Amino acid sequence: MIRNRLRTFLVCVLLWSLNMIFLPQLYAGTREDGKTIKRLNKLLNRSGKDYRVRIRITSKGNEGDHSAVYLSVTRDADPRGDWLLFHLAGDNTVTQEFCLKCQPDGGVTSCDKGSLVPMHMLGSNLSGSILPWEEVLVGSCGSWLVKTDPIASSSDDERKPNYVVQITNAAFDPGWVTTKIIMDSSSKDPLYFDRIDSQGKSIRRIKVIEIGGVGSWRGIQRAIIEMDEGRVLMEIVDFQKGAGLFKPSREFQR
Amino acid sequence: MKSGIPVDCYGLSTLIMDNIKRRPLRALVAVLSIAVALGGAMTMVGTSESIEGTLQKGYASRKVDLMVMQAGKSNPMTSRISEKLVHELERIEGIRSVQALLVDSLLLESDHSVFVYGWPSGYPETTYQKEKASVELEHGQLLIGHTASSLNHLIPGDRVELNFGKYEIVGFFEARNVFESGVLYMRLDDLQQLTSSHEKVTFIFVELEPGLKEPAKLQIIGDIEALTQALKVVTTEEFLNQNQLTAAVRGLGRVILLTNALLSILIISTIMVLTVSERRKELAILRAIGWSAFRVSLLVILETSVLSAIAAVLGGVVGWLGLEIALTHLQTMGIYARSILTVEHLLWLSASAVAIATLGAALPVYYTLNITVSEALRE
Repeated sequence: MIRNRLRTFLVCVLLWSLNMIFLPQLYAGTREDGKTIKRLNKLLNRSGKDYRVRIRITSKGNEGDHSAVYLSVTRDADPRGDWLLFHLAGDNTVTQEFCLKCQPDGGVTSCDKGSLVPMHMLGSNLSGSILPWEEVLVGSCGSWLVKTDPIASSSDDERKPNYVVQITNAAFDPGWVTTKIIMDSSSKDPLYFDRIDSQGKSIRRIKVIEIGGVGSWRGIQRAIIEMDEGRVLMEIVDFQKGAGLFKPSREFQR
Repeated sequence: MKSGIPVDCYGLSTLIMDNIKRRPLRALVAVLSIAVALGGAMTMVGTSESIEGTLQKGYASRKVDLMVMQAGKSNPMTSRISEKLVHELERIEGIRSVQALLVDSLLLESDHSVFVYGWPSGYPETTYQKEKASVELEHGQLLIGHTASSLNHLIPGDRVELNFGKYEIVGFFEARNVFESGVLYMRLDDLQQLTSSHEKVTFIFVELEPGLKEPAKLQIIGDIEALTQALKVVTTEEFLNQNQLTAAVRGLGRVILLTNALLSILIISTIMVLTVSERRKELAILRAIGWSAFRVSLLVILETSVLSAIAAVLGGVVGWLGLEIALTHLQTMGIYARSILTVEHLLWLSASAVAIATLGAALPVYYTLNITVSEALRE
């Protein structure tokens, strides 16, 4: 009788010990997930900071046509919505400059008229490139919310997307709603971003090539966007922190 | 006899050697600790100086006295200035020759980035040997450095994709400086077209007339910067000092040097205090038989110095080995540098050993001077 009780006691102790061994791992798993979500949020949400970034956009269409243009984006952060000054230049395009304002509740307006950006702009490509403007505008003005992917979470298959990004400003909703992120299981860095439309169809895939730093900036430094029309390489070639103020025009427009 | 009490014929040196031999493990630990600390510091400082030295030699062989680039760029590789400036610079008195270069980081095979140098056609850099004849690079052709070749598993004859453009590697080039071995060469107009940088270059290298005095050099720098406000002129030394990689290695080397020196002083000081405390009686006897406080202190200082000197020699070997390993590792990262060890380095190592010995002996000497004969003999 005593021996049986002792055995039960030992089994209980053993089970409790095993439980204690696995508990920190379970906790670490949750914490790791939280950390990754925080990192991804930081990587994707760029609003609220003044900077000037120069992006080289190299396109190669299915016909083999090659072109490269430079897009400089100057961000003047404002609690009522960031101001963006775009400057497009390069050998393969006509130099153009225009100012847009990201509305906090969603939507993009023109700086001077306060009107919504013509929707034809969202549907068109950057001059001298096959990259759609919506990719640039969503990248600049979109607020993203990163969540764990419930489908991937219940599956052991690491190739499935681990996280889902949802755009929170409503103006971008109609076109494409969700972005699925496929993560590197070891480095916990994003490998691919899949833009999914409301029908669940993949519109384009963004392959992350390099996450690194240019000066004081840290983020996705190089990425290839794979589309039906061809491939686009986006590279951050220069970054200046705090160089985003273009106040005279902003003060005037207020 | 190993009583520790000196016989009359014992001199300072005999006493020191005898004491080290009596505590071999302790001496070994002290020597090894200091050797590793000194060797680590030497590896870091040596790596930074080897990189800088190799870079400097490379620029010297290219005859670069001044480098012209875009002002206000923290990363010099993002500098973009007009290629047309070459002709304006050639007209400035005191300038012997100028050389333009466009540098860019491009995506190789949609996988990783590689540095590509674009040289104007007609430069020696755009020629290669083909069937014992010197041939000029044509459009769509590349030359590859040996490090870039081994890192990317590419050889002449291979076709590669750079930023979606198709190119063929036609030969190797001999690198003139530390970074060049890990890069690819192409024609300037090809790189300008690929990166949409029409008539733009990153640097213009300037060779000055020989024998120019400092005021004349400053005048030339002023003349160049007066061409347009967006220009910055630096000497090769200034450029190397601004180089992020060498600055980072140099900074890290100094921190390691300081911490390792402090660590060495602590180690030798602790070990010598231990030794002195164990030899209180012996040291008291020495005082009792007429040794002056200075002579007894000298015994401790010299013993510390002997250990430090052995550690310095060993540290030198460790440092040299570490330097070779570090440079080999850097080579796998595309940074080629020759190990440069000079008399200056050896002097620096000796000075460090002397400083460590002197500072490390301070506490044990103080401890020794506080030993009173009566107290020690009573123990």
